[in-house]
Amino acid sequence: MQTIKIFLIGMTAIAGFFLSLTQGSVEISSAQIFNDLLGGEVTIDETKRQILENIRLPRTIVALLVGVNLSLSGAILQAVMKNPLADPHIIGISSGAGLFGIFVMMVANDTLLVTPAAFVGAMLAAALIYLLAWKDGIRPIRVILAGVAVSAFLGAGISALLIFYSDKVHGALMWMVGGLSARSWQHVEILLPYSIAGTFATFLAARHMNVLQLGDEVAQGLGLRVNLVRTILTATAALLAASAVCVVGLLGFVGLIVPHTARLILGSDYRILLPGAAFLGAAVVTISDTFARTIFAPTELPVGILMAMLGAPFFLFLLRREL
Amino acid sequence: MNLTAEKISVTIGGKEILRDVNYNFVSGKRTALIGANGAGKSTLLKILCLLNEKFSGSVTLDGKDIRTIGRKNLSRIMAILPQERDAPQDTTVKQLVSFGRFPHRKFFGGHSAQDEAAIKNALELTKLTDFENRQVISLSGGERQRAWLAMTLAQRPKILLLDEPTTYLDIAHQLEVMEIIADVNKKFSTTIIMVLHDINHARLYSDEVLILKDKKIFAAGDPKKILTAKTLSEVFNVEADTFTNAAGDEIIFPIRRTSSGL
Repeated sequence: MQTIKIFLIGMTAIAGFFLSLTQGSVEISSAQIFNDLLGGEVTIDETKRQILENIRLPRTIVALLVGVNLSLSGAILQAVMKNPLADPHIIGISSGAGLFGIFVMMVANDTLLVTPAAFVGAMLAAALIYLLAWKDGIRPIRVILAGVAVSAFLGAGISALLIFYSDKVHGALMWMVGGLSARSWQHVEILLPYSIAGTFATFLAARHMNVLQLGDEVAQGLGLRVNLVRTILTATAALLAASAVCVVGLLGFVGLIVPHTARLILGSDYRILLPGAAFLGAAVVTISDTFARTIFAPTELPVGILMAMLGAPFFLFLLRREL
Repeated sequence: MNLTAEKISVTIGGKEILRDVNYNFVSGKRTALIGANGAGKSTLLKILCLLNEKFSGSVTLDGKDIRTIGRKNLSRIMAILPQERDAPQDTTVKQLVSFGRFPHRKFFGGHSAQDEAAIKNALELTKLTDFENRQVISLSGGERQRAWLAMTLAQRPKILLLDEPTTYLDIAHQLEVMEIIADVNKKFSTTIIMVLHDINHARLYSDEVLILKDKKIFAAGDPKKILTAKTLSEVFNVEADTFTNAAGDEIIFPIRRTSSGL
């Protein structure tokens, strides 16, 4: 049963991938994509080939990787913090990336530096929160409260920047909402190492996350070094989320709702939940992005807005059914 | 295996809980920890299994300090059933019991035949075989307690620590848990160390008793000799009657608090 569900979610992710490649201002058929990408007989003209290989394919891969990274990050944090509201926001990823990214965008006026600056900001904020919460080990509630406080502090910085540089607010807003337009191979290169290493590390720790669910004392009694595992997993979640956020902006919603949805569909065994969440994240972002850029074509809707509008009601529907 | 506490002192939140406690837990026997609330029973239990690491003195297992043995290795020898615990809503009894095998798994290893046997055996010992596919959340209090106990038994511990294993259970389920523990102790010579509140359980279901009072060991030894009406008045400030039941066991019945208890 679980295997069938995972298979279906996986198929949805693959369907989302192809949907994203075929749909847009220029339609390209699946057969043409197969032929072109898998080295078969080239059946599309040069313009379409350029669109496919240099615009749609990288953008779709970015969408897929961002979906995987954010949903795994959220799934990890829900296990580590034992709190249903835990998501990449909680450990300061969004506020840190936001402040540094927007600072560079507005004050330094350098769009190339936005990505690395956002990444550094996200990791610094996560590390700061973790250090502030550390007192003879880590207690989730302290992380969450320190996270709220640090995020509020950094959020004030973001607001101040938006007010002092109000002429550049539009760009900053677009980035804060999160979007995938004009994402290219260079962004794939930024994301890919984190996706591969992060996914690998996360899947290896699935059983440890299961044991963490039983409570700290039980977990320790079963031989788990709770503080060590928490620290490593939090760092993994931070890297996964920071890599995604620095590329596509503050796409916060995926990290909270996708893992919960996967849990409602698949149950809470992390050996099943993690692959499910990864597939679901990839499916949600690729499909949402396809709609975001085609619904009001030629105007593009930032994918973050569409995702929240469609995803939140769907999540509430699942939640009501479950309760 | 020989578990010894040497010069254990511990302070929690500025309050000294234990001072220079020395005790050698008898291998293969059941020891009950008795004492008033706040006397340090649970604290001592947590120190014995490294759940509390901020103590001075040492705990040794066959002469080796448990801190050098390390948590992972220790969990293959010693199991603990703490009071504070949690399981996701959809966890089945079998899944819960399977967690007891976590300490024995290799990082990349799967489920071995030995794991399967230990899980099956733990379910049998706790009479939960028919419940293995039920969700833990759907069980009654007594069944749930047995499921958690089964998890620690699947660990195949040589030493089993239990923190108030009968709290919140009705009288029949209290006895059931005590009987399972007696059974495990007899079959596998597992050393049992348990925090108990019921004096009569301690008398009937333990071989040794350790009474804590004022940060120290107040008395230790044969429960039938030590747990008397006099001890109750000294440790709990409670006046008690003693009578002998049909089976010839002496039963202590607390009646009222003595004035010095205020």
